[in-house]
Amino acid sequence: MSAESPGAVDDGENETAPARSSLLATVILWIVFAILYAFPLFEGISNLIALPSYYASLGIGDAVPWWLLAIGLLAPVLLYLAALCIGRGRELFPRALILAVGLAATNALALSAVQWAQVVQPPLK
Amino acid sequence: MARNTERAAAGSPGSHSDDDEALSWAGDELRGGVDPLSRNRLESQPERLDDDGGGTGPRSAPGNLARTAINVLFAVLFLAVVVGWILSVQITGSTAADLFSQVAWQFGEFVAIISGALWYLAVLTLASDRRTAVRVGWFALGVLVLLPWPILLAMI
Repeated sequence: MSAESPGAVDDGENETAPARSSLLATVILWIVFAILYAFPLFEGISNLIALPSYYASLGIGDAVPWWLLAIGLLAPVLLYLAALCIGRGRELFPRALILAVGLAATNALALSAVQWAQVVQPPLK
Repeated sequence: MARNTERAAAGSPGSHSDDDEALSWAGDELRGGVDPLSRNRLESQPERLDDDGGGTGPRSAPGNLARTAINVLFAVLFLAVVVGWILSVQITGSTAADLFSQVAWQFGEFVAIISGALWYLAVLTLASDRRTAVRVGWFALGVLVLLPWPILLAMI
């Protein structure tokens, strides 16, 4: 009996240690991808702040493409949250792959939004 | 002893393996008998044929064919997306002067290029056990979201 008790304690520790390291790896993954998603988010925020005043200075303040600014702002946030939801309950690699797909889609949408903004910009007065 | 002698006399070298020899008696073939190992093989053979040919075969073969066709079709589409983004990043550029913005822009262009491949691989690996309609839905959503608008708008 006395020999079994330490074994039982060891088993419990062995069970929680991988779970703890897995949780730590998942949190690190979330943080790393949050930083990577922050790049296009920062760009979207700066566009939202700078573009209306820039258009106003050009005399085309009424033609601000708000829907493109909204895409630039919302895509990083929504795709990050969607990637977290879809990856919930999966292993580390599928979570990382889903977050990478969301990040790639975010950047593709941001680049598309920039190009669309140039196309829909009205001729200067 | 008599049977052993008979076996030794009748057994032809190289015609049976050791297992076959252990489970058969000399003269079984002449009397129409079948050794248990061969009988088991013969009995299991038609079942396997039924499983392959009559059971799941006719139903699974078109399903696999359709699945493969969908995978190939979307592989071509996502390859076109990747090529489109490679061309797109040639005509887009950052106007920012600072290094951080330049690096962020370059990173964004790189992940935009690989976005099609990533989406395709993700659906292929993570939704492999899902219904075909679900996989087609995820594939189609990827193509729509990742359309390389810069090059498309330049071509229009």
